[in-house]
Amino acid sequence: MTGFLAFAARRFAGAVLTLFLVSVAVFGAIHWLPGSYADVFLGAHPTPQAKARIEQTFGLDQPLPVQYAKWIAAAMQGDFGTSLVTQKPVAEEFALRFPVTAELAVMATMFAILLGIPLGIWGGLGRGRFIGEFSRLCGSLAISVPDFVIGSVLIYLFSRYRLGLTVGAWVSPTANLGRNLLAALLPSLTLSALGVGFVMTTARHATISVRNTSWFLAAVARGKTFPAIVREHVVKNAAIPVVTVIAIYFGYLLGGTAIVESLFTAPGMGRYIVEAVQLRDYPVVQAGVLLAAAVFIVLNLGADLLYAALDPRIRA
Amino acid sequence: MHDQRYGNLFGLTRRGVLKAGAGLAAPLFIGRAARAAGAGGTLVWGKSLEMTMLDPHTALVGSAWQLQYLVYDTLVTMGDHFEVQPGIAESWEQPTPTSYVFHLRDGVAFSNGRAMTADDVAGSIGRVVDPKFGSWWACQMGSVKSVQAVDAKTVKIELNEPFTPLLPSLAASMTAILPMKELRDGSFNPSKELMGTGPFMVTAHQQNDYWTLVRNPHYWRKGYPKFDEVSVRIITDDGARLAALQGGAVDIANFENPDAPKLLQGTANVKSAVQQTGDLYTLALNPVWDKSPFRDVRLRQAVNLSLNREQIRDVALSGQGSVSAVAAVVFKDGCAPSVARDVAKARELVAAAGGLSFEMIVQTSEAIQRIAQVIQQNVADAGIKVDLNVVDEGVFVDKVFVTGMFQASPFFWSAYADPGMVAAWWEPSVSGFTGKYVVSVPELDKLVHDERRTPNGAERAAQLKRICALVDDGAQMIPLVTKPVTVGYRSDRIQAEIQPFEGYNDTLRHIAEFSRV
Repeated sequence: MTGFLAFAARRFAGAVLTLFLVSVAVFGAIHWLPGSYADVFLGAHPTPQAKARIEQTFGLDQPLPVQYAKWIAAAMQGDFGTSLVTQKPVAEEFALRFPVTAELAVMATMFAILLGIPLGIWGGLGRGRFIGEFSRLCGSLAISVPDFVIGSVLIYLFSRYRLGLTVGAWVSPTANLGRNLLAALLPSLTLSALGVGFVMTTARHATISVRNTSWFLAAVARGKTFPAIVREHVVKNAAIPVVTVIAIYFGYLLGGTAIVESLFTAPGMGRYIVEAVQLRDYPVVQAGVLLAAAVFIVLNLGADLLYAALDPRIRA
Repeated sequence: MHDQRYGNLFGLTRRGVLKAGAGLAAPLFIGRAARAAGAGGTLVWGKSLEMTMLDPHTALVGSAWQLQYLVYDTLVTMGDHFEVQPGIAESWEQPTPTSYVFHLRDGVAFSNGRAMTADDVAGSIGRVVDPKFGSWWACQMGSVKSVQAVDAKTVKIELNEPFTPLLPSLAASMTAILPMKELRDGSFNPSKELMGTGPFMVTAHQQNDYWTLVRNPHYWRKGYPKFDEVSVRIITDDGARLAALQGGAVDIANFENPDAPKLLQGTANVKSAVQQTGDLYTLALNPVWDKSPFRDVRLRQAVNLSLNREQIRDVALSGQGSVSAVAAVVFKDGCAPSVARDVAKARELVAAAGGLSFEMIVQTSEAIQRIAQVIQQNVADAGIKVDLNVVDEGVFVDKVFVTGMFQASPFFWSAYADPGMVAAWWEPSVSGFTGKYVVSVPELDKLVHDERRTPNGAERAAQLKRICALVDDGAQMIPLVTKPVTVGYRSDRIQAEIQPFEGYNDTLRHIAEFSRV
C-alpha cells in the first residue's frame, strides 16, 4: 500500500506539472500569434485610441506575465474568465456547447462499437476468405478517408436528393429530442467512420490472435457451437485491446470534432474554440485547451493508477 | 435584450423535460407545418458570418451591418438604385451648402416602447462624430460643426464645409439611431445588446449559432414586418448553407461563393438573385514598407499593366461583378479602368527596374484566393513571379493593417452608397489608417478633398474621372472588380424581393415586406 501511495503521489505530481506546462504553452502560443484581439476587432480601420481603449477594457495592456498570473490564479478557482467577443463567462459558453460535443462523441462511439466490433470479429473469423479481406479493406478505407470528405459527401447526398435529413438545422434536445437526434445523425455517422475503422481493425486482429490459440482449437475440437465459441472465447479475449481503442477514440472525439461541427453547423466546443482562435478570444482558447488537456491527463492518470493497482510490477 | 438559452441541457426546466418527452413521442417530422399564406410565421435565414461587433457606431464589417439593419433605423435610407429616401426623417431641407434640417416622422418608438425623440437622433449622430468616441465612420461624415435637436421633431446638422456624400452616409447603419436616454443612464449598452426602432428586436442569441428576433411591436411602419419572427442561423460553410437551403432547413441564405448562382440553378423551388454592389476587390501593392519592391512606381505599374481584369471576373468570380475603377461602375458617375492590359509594356518596365518577384498575403476567403491565383498567372505573362502565402484573419490583419509589413495583398473595400466615398481611403490624411500602405499623391489628395465638397453634377463627375485615372496610374491599391452577393431563397415558402443594388451590405433590405407564400 505504501508503494502504491508513493507511486500515486509521483504520478499526481507529474500530472500537475504537465498541466502547468500546458497552461504556459497555450497562453504563450495564443498571445504570440500575429494579430491581437484588438487588431482583429478593429480590422482595416485601426486607430491607436480605439486599440488602447479595447486593450485597457480587457486588461490586455498589462505585461504578459501579469496577465498569465491573474488568469491561472482565477482558473485554479474555477473562474475561466470572460469571452472577449461575447463578454459572457467562458464557463457559461462552454456549458452551452459541451453537451453538443458530448452528444456527438457518445453517438459516434456507439456507432463505432455497434458496427466495428461485429464487423471486426466477423472479419477475423473469416481470415483468408473473401469476408476477411473485405473487412480488412473496409477498415483501412474508414481510417484513411478524412472526415470532411465523408461529411461533404453525406451533405451532398442528403440535401441534393432530399433523403430526409437536413443540414444546418441543429435543435437542442430540450427543444425537440426527435429532431435533435436527427440533426446529430449525420455528423455522428461522419465522426464514427474513423472509430468504426479503428475498432473493426483492432477487433479483427484480436480475433485472429484468439483463433490461433490452443484453447480456441480445443473448444472447436470439443464440439462447441460456433456462437458459443464466439461468445465465450472470442469476444471476451478480444475485448481488452478493443476497450482500450474505444477509450482513446472517445477521448479524441471530445477534443477533435471541430471540422465536423463546422461542416454540419453543430454548436459544439471544437467549432467554438477554432473560431475563438481566429478571433483571438484569448480566455476561450486558453480555457478550452487547458480543459481538454486536463481531461486527457486525468484519464491517463486514472489508467496508470488502475494498472498499478492491478499489477504491482508497474509501481516499481 | 432578454437572453433565453436555446435549450441548455444542464438547465432543464419542467417545460424542457415535457418538451423533450413530446419530442420523443411525436412522429419524426422534418420541415415545417403548413401555414396560412401571407403574414405571420418565422423566416429562417442562413447567414454566412456571425456578428462580432454589436455597437453600430463602431461596427466595421458587413456581417454586422446586415443584422443591425433588422433592429436599427437611420435618418435616411437607400432605394434600390442608391437613391436617398426618407427613413426616420420623413423630409429634409438643405438651406445652405453646409446645413441640413431633418424633420422626424411621428410614431417612431424603440422596442422598449419609449418614443424616439430628436434628442435620440442628435445624440446618436453626435456620438458618431465625437472625436473622443472615435468612430471610424466619422471621416465619412465630413467636418461636422454641430448636431442639434431644434425641437421635438427637428434635427439640424451644421458642417464646417460642404460635404456631398453626407446624405448617403447617413443611410449607413454606422449612423443608427440609438436610445440615448437609456445609453446615458447605463441601462443600455450597445456593445452588448441591440435595441432600436427597426422592424425586429432580439430575444435570444448564442454566439456562432443563432439569433432569434421577433417583430418590434412599436415599429412605425404599420402592418410591417409581415413575418412574426426571424431566426438567423449562422452557417459558415458554404456547402452546408447551400444544403440547408436545398433541404429546407433555411428559407433564405446569402452566399459570397462565386459559384453559388450556378450551384443554385436548377434546384427545385429555389430562386436566386445576384445583388450588385460597389464593393471593390482591390490589389494593394505596398509602396511604404522598406522591404517591398513596390516603392518603385514602375513595378507597380508593371503589375497593373499585366492584370487581366476580365479574366479575374470570369474565372475567379464566375462572371459575376463588373470590372471597375475606384469610383465603382455601379454608380451613376462611376468609371471603368483607364489602364488596358499591355504585357509588352509591363515587361519593359520590369526589365528597366531590374526584375520583380514578390509575396502576396492572401486571406482564407474562397473568392480572394481565386483572385490571387488569377493574378499570379496574369503577372507571370510579364515574367513576374508571385508567391502566394495564405494566412488566417489575425495574421492578415496584423501584416496588412497593423504593421503594414507586406508586399502585396488582395482584399476588398466596401464602396458604400456614393462613388466618391471609398476614394477617401486613397488619401491617407483623410482615412488615417491607410498610411501604412498608401503614400500621399498631392494631386489625388486635393481632388479627393475637392470632390467631397463639389455638388453632384458634371464638375464632380469630371473630378471623379480624374481620381480614377490617378489611382490607376499610381497603382498603390489597384481596383479590380466589384464584389457581387448571391441570395438564394425557397420560392415555395416565401415571397422575397431582393434589391438589385446594395451599398451597405443590407442584403435583405426589404425583409419587412417578405411574407410566407
